[in-house]
Amino acid sequence: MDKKVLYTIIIVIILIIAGVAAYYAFTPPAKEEKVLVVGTASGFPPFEYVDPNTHQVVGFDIDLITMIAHKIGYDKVEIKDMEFDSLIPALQAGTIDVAIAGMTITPAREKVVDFSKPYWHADQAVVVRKDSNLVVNSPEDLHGLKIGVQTGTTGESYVTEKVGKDNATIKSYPSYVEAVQALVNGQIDVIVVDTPVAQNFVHKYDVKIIHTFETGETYGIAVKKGNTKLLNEINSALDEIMNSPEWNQLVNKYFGSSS
Amino acid sequence: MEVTLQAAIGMLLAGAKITIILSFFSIFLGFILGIIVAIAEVYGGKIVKGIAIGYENIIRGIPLLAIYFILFFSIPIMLGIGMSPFLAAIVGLGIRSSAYQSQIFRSGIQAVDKGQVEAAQSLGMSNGQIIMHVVLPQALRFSLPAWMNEYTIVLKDTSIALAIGIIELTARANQLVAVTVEPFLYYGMAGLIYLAMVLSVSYFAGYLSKKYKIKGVGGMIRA
Repeated sequence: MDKKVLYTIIIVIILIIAGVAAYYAFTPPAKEEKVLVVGTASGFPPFEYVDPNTHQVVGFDIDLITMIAHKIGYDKVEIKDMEFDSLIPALQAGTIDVAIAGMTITPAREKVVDFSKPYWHADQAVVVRKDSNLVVNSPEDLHGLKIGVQTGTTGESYVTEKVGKDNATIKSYPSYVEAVQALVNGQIDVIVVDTPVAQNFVHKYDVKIIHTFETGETYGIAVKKGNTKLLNEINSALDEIMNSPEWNQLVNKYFGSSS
Repeated sequence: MEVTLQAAIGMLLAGAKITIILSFFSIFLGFILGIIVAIAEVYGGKIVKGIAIGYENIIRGIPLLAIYFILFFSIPIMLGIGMSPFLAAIVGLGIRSSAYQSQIFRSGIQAVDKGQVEAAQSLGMSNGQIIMHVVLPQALRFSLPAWMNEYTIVLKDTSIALAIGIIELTARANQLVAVTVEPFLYYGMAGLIYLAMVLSVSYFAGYLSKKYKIKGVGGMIRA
């Protein structure tokens, strides 16, 4: 190849990259409409998941935040899908306005973000293989078993606290998918996960829910610490929705029967 | 939830497209920075050389995920200005790759026979001319196999951009697994797509090495 051609190609490529970079860096998004930027972490059906046919993030949380946004005067919502652990830094950095992702309200999280009123109660389900004849009615019944949990979840802290590392083998998995796989393969005896997730397994695998621990954990919508105005608006919209027939319609849409 | 094979493939390919675009821009950003760092390291004075080596060591010492978090979360908090996720993904991966590419080009530059530089100097060529016309054309050819290897690494490391919200191939596989709870099938399919991309790169690398081979160099051990 002629050298000049080669250099021209290199220069053109550099210019294209510079152009794209400049475009992304300097073009302010055209914001005539009032847009609520919502962060979520798909992968938690039915609260938020991606519909494989449309490639869009959908789910209970998405419908709920869209209803709230319309009530408090936003024209539309923009969904930003990211890792669950990135949501709180994204709120702090101002990349997103609110985070809704089946996020349990915990004291540790409340130190760094502000939560709305709880909109969902989730408990911890005990899941075993279908052919298992284990009976679990209290945390003591889990003594001596191999228990699978998902890292960083309430299931993990519940089991660690109520059963204890000395009384049982607790195995933490990065995602519940791996935990359920381990259960099916017989590497663990039981898993302890959020009830909506457990219900999702039951349709797919030969597993069953044998008990539910009532932990009283609740999901909330998170906003940046100190964003009281938005938080108050969200709370009053949430009140309005939860006391209207819309709420039951929403729950029925994603959970079949009532919660 | 049932997912048709067609929808699943469509979703994975949509992710693969982002993976390819992201890796392409990142490797070229890394290429430009890497060449500059390599030249600075070989030909620079004490201070320039020190800066180049320091840059390499610092960037190579920080995990990509941390680079992303610094670019995407820390800088907006500290300075109040932000980048779009896609730009942050390109810059992060490009900077990371530049520290590895500079080593590839440095060894390429050093592989060019010293006598050629001296010959060029005796012909009265300027330093810039020597680098552009004598050293780099050969150094880039020497670097090609290692550079293509780096590209396959960048290609797979794009999956870390998932942390800042880039929905690429791995993210799409995650999404499918979340709805279907069938990890083997969808991670397997994603793996096959990565494999296909890497094999294409390897094949292309082989083609390029042949096409731009320096006659009389390589292929056999010279006495």
